[in-house]
Amino acid sequence: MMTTFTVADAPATMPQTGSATPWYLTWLGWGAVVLIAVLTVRAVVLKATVR
Amino acid sequence: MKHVVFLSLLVLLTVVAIRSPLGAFAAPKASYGIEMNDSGFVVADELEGGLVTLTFTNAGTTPGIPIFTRLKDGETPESFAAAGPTAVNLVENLATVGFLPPGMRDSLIADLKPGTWLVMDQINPAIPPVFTNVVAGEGDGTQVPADAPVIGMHNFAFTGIATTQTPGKPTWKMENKGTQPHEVALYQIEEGVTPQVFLASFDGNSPPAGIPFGTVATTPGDAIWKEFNLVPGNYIAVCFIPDAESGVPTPSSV
Repeated sequence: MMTTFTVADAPATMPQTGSATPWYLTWLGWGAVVLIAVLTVRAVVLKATVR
Repeated sequence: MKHVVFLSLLVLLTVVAIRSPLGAFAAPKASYGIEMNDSGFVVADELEGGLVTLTFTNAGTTPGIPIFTRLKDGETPESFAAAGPTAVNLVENLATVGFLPPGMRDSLIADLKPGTWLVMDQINPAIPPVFTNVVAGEGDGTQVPADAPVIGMHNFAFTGIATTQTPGKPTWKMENKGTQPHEVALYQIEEGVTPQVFLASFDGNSPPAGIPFGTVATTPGDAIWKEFNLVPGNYIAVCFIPDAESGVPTPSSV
């Protein structure tokens, strides 16, 4: 038994994102953003406090 | 308070990172290795059953077709050895890849049932089979996508293979819905190569008119998962296993 099929070229448009993005990637990305923001604010506060 | 917020974020990130399947964070996926070399086969004495990734490696200098299969309940390595040419009737639950040239490896995902499994070489039957005991277990942590395309292997036709597909690395679930062992041997073929031309190229005198993209074979009622790397092009999926009743290779019967 046998069958044939074709794999077409990749579409020129960007793949759809958004709802298809896994939740863990979303949280990982936003978690990193929040952490960096908190560290930045913390550093600013500590620097101001020392002065 | 600041420390509480900081530590909470660290805990959150740690949990998310551990849960993530990203390679850098996820626990490495175990793989059961079956190696063939010039001396024979190397496989663990005991394996934990369940859903596992089986990786077949040819570390030898000659090509082979490793056959990994399970002895029927009640059969033993001794009865298998004594059966001679009829030993094929003593096995079931086939989980194997296809032709494996020296230096190459290939993988599949199978749900291993407990029992005595053996690996042997279809090309070199003089190499003694090696047995391994598969005990009941929960696999090696391998997971398969719930929405994997289901490819049916019937007597004698495939179902579920879309005529047009998109590039990517889909994991196919191949179910043997027939009454005989079947395989999916996937080849990429050049534009204009017909199935008849492709089949005719397996004459033993010339290289096949296609590039092998992976093969799996299994027995009735069983399923095998495999990731295929589908790049743009034309493909043919074939089952070369002869009809058990007529002995005729099944491609010619369709």
